[in-house]
Amino acid sequence: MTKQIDEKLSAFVDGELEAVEADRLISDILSNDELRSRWANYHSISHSLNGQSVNSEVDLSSSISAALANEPTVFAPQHKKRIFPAALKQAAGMAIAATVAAVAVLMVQPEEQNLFNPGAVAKAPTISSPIANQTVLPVGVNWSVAEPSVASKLNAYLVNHNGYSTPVRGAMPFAQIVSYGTKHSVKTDDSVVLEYNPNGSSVRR
Amino acid sequence: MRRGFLITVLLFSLSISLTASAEQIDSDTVREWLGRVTAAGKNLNYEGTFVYRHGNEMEAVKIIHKADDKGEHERMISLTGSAREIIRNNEVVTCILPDSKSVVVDNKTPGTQQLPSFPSELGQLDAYYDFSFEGYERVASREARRVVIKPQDRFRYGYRLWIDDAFELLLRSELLDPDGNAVEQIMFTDIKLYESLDSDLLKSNLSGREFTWVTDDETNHDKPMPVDPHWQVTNKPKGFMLAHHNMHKLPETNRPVEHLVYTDGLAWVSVYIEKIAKNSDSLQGATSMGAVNAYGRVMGEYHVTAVGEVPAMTVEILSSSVIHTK
Repeated sequence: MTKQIDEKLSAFVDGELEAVEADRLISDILSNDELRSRWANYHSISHSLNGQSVNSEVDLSSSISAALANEPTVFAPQHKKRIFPAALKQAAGMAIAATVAAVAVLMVQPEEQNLFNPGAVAKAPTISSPIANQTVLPVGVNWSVAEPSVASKLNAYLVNHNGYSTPVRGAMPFAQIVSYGTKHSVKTDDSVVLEYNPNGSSVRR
Repeated sequence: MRRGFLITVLLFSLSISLTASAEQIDSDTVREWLGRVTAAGKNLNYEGTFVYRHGNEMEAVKIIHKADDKGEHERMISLTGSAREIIRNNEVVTCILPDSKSVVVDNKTPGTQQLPSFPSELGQLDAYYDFSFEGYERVASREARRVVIKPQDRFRYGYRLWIDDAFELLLRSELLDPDGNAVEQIMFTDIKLYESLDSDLLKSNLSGREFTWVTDDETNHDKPMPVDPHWQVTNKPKGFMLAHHNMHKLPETNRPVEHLVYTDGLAWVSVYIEKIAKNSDSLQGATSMGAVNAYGRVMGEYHVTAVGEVPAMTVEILSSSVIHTK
């Protein structure tokens, strides 16, 4: 059973699953927790193999979710695949990424999420996306202190400190910030956020 | 037998040439090299991937950097974990954090000072560090000069740096604890340099539709606040000088925090002094995260925390010697 599912996921990832089957698989992914996490793993594996940036997924998500609703055959096998393997591998990867995003968007109820509201500090909606939950790490996992509130304060100090120091980091001065982002970005209760300001204040909730 | 002798001689001369390749260089040369590294990182167009390891964690990040007549434009995308993204246009830094479905735009107020430089009265770095050039090594399939900066005491970290021999970009760096173990490493795995880069590469593909945007619209948070000059750190390891003394509000608590920054020219430590408030937990004692150490203590109605990329001993000394002279 598991093996069969794995084969299907793998075929889907490679764009070799028939439309009807693909359609069924998508429904299964949407309704089954275990399958969703398996799918997310597949996604991240295929992703790293393709070596592409993840951001392409969100851009395509709305069009793909529309396509999902109206035209499931969008996932039909791509016969030209063998001719330009590299280019199409990339394209297939993008489509998969887009699909995952579409799944995430569907799970998150898009109508509540469309709060594109520049200039305002809006409250972040509670995240129910299975994909988002996959990558969540506990807050302050790295500081060797027990209380999350202490860790969070230390993070605030540290991000602020980074704005004032010029460590020998060459072209990568923001590397730490990207990395700390993992720890800060997890508080799903409010609109958290990591902000970098060379002048002073730093972590904002 | 004869052949064995020859090999021995060859190995011996090889070991001599290897030892000889680590040559002492002075701090002015290193400072000049580091200056060129900083300039190269700012002024070149490049695209690459680097890995960043700190503590037990490792991340891969893609970087695209463009420099033109409008300044610096940079985009960093994390390739591991969630797809965090940082886009920087000169001083405006935008962090996109998919986990919290939010985008943060931070706008530096015009007219404020640039990032800190070395304090002018700072002595020669070679009073606290030894510098050596260890020859050439390949990083990201490019030829790099390997430089080692070794601290003379146990109050600061050392560095091992690989500098691109043609373009002066820092291709790899390691932060070393006093025993010479790497506590933080950054290394490009591939890098391409360009005459110019298409601006579209610097744009995030995120449409912003599923995201909450948090914009920094409080223009007053960079407003200078008066500092209390009576706060002093009385005991500092050799060479550490006060580089900044500020007062800001950390958004976490929105309470004013006294901030003193000390540096020896390479290592940086911040000392934060905050009035103790109800329901506020603060660090007591030592903790660390990767190469960063922190030490906190209570001092009357204040809480003092020292944080920096220095050994644990150094933050403890600084934090413990804070006094108020009034």
